[in-house]
Amino acid sequence: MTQPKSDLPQGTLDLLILKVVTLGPIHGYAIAQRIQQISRDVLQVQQGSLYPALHRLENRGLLAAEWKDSETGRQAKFYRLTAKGQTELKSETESWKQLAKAVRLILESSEANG
Amino acid sequence: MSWWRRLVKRGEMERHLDAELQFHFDGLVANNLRAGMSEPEARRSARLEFGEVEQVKEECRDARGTRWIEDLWQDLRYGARLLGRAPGFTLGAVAVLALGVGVNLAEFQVFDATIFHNLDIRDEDSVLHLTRNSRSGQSLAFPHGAVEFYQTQSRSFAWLISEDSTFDVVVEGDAAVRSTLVSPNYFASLGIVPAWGRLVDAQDAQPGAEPVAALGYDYWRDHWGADPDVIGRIVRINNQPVQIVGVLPYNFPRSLLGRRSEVWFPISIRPLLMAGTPTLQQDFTRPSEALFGKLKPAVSQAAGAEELTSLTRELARQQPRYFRDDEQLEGQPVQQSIVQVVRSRPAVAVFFVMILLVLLSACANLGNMLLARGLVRRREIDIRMAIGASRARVLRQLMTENFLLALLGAAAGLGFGAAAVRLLLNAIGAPYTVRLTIGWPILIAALMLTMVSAIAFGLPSALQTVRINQPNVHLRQSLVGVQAAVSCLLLIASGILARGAISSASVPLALDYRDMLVIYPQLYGRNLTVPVVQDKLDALSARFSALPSVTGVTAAVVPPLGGRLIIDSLPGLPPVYRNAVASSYFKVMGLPVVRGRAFLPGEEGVVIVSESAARAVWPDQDPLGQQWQLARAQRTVVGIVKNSGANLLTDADSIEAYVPIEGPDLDRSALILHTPSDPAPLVRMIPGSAAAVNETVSVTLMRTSRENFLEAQRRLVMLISSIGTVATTLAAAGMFALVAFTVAQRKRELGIRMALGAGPRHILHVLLRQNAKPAVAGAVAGLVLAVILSRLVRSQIVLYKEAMDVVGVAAGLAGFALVLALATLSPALRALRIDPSRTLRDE
Repeated sequence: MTQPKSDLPQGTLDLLILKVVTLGPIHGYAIAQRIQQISRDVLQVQQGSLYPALHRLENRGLLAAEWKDSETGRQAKFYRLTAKGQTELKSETESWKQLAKAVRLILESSEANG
Repeated sequence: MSWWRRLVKRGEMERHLDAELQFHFDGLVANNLRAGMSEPEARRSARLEFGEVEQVKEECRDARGTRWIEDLWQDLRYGARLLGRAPGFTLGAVAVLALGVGVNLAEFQVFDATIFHNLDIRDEDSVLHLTRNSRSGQSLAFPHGAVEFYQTQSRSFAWLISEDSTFDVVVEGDAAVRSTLVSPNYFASLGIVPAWGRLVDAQDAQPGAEPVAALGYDYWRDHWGADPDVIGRIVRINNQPVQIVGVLPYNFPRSLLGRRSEVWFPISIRPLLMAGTPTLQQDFTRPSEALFGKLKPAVSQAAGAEELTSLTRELARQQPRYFRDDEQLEGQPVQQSIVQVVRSRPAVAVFFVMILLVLLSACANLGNMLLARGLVRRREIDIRMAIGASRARVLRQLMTENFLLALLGAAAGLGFGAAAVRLLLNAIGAPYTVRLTIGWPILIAALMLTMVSAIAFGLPSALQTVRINQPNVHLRQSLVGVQAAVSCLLLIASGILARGAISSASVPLALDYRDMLVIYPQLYGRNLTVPVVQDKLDALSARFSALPSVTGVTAAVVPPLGGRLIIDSLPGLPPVYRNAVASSYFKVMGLPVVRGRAFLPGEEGVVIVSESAARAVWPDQDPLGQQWQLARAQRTVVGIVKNSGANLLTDADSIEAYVPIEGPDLDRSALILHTPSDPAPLVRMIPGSAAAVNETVSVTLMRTSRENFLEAQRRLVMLISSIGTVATTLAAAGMFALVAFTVAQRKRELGIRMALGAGPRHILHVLLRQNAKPAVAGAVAGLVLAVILSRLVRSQIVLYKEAMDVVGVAAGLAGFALVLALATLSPALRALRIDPSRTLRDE
């Protein structure tokens, strides 16, 4: 059995979704495409695993959703960021940057020593 | 969306989820087609990119946060299906719970309704406590004006009385003496006979009546030197002169509301004691009185309450400031609160412990059945765990089933309890006015208790069931042990208690109490000289002797079974119940003189002791001729009489001593009349006879209090033995189910054993061996506990004083063994009828 979960660190997928959704109402399929495009296919996300994350974010009130006609004319569920989601995104981004900086510092210093 | 809406709109949520995932999937396929793949290839690739659809759906459902409720619902449906498929087990488990819960409920209610009536008053079962409830739910007391209104207007009640125990008084500078104000007809209606003097009565309600008070017995004994001459004295109460007119009997220390009172006043004294309160008739401003009434024969409780309610409407018209027209009057039998009863009768606490033990037994029973069932479901559970159900998930499922069982059991228990109550009430012959007050709190408590106990006992079994490859012998054995111990304990305890109650109720009274009338003249407190008192007593005696069918008249300061007691505490001796009696006392009362002689007329400086006193005071010597310092004098023992038994009911250690009535005690004598026919009709003639010599007396039947006591004992015995019966039934049902289950489960194995030539003895051995040991161990534990318990409560329970009741214990044990043997043998014997060839073929 293949491991269906993404290879992303815990919580990263949520952050990516929130970031992508800032661009405006967007449905799940487009979110998946966008993540692959932007990351230039570096991040291989099993696309199905997007949905539990979307629903979780929706239940936490960070995303809001409504059914609308898509570009193909078919009904799709469009997600958009709520005010609460905006705040969450900001603080998550901040802490992510902190973490990344800290990790880089450690890696670089150990390279220098080695 | 709230979790609630997410839960309710589950179908819609599922459709949306499908549509959303389908949209994504179709997008992937279309994309692949555009990239030049063939249709099947495009779909295959899309599936790979998307991942396991069902898995994704599950995770999305989890993300909703309502998953546990959906699971619960699923589990409940599954559990209900399973229970329905095993009707035998379900019925058995529900029956066990219903028995445990229902009987408990019934016992509690009946106990609540009958035994809590512990007042020594006439017709206590038909006396109602009337309360005033407005729609807003408050319950109010009555102002005196209303009490008088009801008293004059009501037609349904034989009498209505009121009491006000809301304030304390200062007696001769002694602050905070608890007091009760009563309506003038209070004591007469309740049939309370004074120990000394008179109690508050109708003359105190006359306009211009002198302020009077009666003292409580303990207060009189402890603060007034047990001196009857306080009667007639004027004391300052709340700085007002009040005359003491009497002393209450020792067995009426509390008001009907349960307040212990030292001083009792007529209600009319209130304006005097409390400056600034209005005169009584117009007093509607102070709602401080509690109202009690006795219905006339053939008037129902509802009709009585209805009449008072409509009278209250009338009051609301007259006194709109103090009464509202939506008020309802309700009546409940007079009873004491649980706390009061437990404090005054420790036997009640034992009763409650026994009730809880019955429940414990039912639960151990249930635990055992669940365990056995877990064994049968082994395969099903193994399969579920093999296909990926987590242990916690299976555990949750099992507990949901237990919960379902508990719910069914509680419901059945409530139903069964309602029926059992009727049965019990009939069994103990409760009067029709006993009303069962089963409130929501009791129902909810019963429900909670069932739930908690079912969960507590279901959990170990469920845990055992999900544990793979563990022998569950220990748990089952300990459950069998617990049950055996509890049942054994209950049987023995109920045996001992019931026998104790019976034996104390049948404490032989050496006195001929049935045919006696007691007459209390009031010669004390009047400063009469001894010769005058003697003349008056002689005149009264002569009058009474002349009444038809009176065959004997004697005198005693403490008439047996009455409201007076004189107890001497002497160093190193049990309490000495002392009496001063006339020389004819022993003959008229029919109390046999065992050795020596009775008193001679006019004799002084002598004492007669009971057999128990002779043994206690002179264990190794001949008591006759001994000197004893008693009642202010050195006395010679001239005779030994049988134990009267009158005081053993309430004080099993008591011993008795009799001295002649001497000069100073003469004015305290009560006269005792003996008649070979029913003494009741004589009662009406007594006051007239006394009036002929210008005396007022009160009169009572000696048998009344004795009969009240016996009635209460009889009810207690019935209740206690019913608990023993329930415990036995539970134990039997439990063992029966267990063995029957074992037989069913091991049918194949037994078949093989029989096919290989095992005889009936061997088969029985195989079946009974595993439960015999824990059952015996439990029974022994129960026996030990029973012995400890009986020793613990022995000193507390008046009912029972013997150290260890061998007969009671033996009877309990024998009953337990017999029932258990029957319960285990009948299913085991069925196993012997197994046809090996058929059983093996069936499998």
